Amino acid sequence: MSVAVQRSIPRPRSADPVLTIQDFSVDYLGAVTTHAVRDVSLTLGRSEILGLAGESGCGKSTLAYGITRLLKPPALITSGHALFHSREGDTIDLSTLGGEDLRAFRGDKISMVFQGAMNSLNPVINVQAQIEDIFTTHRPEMSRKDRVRNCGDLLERVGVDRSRLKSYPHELSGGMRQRVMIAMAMALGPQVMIMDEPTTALDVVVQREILDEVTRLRGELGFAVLFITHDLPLLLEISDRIAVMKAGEIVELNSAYDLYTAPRSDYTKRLLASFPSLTGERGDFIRTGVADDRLTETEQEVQE
Amino acid sequence: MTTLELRGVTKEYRIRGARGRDRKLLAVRDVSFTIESGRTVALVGQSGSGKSTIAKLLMQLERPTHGQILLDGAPIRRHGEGLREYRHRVQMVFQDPFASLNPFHSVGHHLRRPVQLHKRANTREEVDAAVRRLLERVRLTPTEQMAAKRPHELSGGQRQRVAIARALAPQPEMLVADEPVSMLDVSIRLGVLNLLAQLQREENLGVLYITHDLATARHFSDEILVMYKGEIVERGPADEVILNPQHPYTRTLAAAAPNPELRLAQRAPGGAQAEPGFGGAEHPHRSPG
Repeated sequence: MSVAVQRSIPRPRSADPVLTIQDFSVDYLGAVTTHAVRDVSLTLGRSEILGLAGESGCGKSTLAYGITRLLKPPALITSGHALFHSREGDTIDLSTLGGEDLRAFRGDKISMVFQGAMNSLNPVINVQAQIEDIFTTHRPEMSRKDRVRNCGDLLERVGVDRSRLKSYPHELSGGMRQRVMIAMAMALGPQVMIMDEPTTALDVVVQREILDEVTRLRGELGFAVLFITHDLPLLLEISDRIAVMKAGEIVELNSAYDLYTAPRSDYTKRLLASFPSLTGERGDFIRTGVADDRLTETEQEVQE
Repeated sequence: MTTLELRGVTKEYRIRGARGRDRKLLAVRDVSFTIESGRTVALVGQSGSGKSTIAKLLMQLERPTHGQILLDGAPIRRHGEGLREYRHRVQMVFQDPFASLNPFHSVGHHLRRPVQLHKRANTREEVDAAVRRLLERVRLTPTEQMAAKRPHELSGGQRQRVAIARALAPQPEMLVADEPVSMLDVSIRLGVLNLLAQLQREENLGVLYITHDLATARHFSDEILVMYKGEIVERGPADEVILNPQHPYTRTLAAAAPNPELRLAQRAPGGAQAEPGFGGAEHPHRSPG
């Protein structure tokens, strides 16, 4: 990690990890066993935004589901641990949790914003009831009045007016639904949030607002984010560090600045070259018609 | 040379309310532009700005409330033989290759149908040859194996190339591409656009490229139209619009687009300032770091 990046982010993070993933492997036991995640080791620092980049099918979502133990057969975790280090200094191995303990742990310590979160809200009950659910489950001692107040506070924190509490999901725009999902993930003040493609279905303007929101809330509340997406340019902007994943393995892990200016792996170089630059020259070959072999190359990569 | 022109087109939708409380939504307001053979026009704007309504109007899935659509200077035909003729000449590539291909049918079927329906080939041999040619053109080879596959066996980029081949099957002169790469991984977008640009040069197609991604719009098109709330607020040559945006909305769009060069320049050792003359830093929601 370069000196420059440490200067721009005040806290030294590697010394104070909140989540340690060690030699994590996941297989899908189909007709042919697929090694979706292979020996991945990662450290997520406290209040760090760690980007996980990779193309479709590289195993990035499987890794996220594996950490939170949401995988179902035929997926099988074949090796490794995910260790959670709480603010109070305890270390919890997620693989030892089960049943009620695991249920209490999720949301409270680690929460998740799912891919296509816009469609993960229940269409037949209103927003308030869905957020309140979290409190009735995890904080049964909380009074009804407090619950309602908390729901409103949460919505306002993500930039949605509390008058929308009684709205049903179809009455909200895509961006608002996404904000509600983020509010729900933040409800219990988790120390880690895993965001799986949280802005993929949104247009650029709304995406920018959501990203700014996440960055702001991270600053206020100090949670760490594992941000998963195929959109490397986006990650370069918001992350402190970026892990590039390919075929289940992490091929490069570095600070965003170093990854962009001095990529070490060929795969990272190719990913970086694959998006057009808004203001620069990169991407010009579309108009001029050179470098056509690029298409076949990257496609084959996806297939592997 | 073929031209497809929108002249003062307005589209209103009626939103049904309680009795006597119907409202009107002006989805497209007095829009005029022309697409010519061999040129690409990009239509950019965020969700709900009316971009896709224009695609629907051009494909005759909706009718304009006011204004005209002209093909080669003549108002487009809306029925019978005239409509069929129009569909020979104007085709569309849809946004979502996961939804626009029928999972029940093979790739070959998806391409045979338009070839037959548009009478581009008659005998079985001719049809098969046409399908092979289409697959080669979008570089889905070996063609025999690809034609036998079903959509679920293909990657997103491959599916979208099938969708492009299908649109090219009737040998159109105009192509409307509604967000053709937004569902694909960032890393394969350029490849698909590159292919589209190459096919366009070969066929001298006129292309309307609808997108919210300014970076690809800039590199892929000759002219950019910026749409906001149903109106075109800015238009001009691609580089001009992106590098020197005039309308505040264009600046907002440009600032919202991921631009790591700018952002990382601010973080760089020595804290280099953002490039001057670009609206990135003016965005009101921008938070430091």
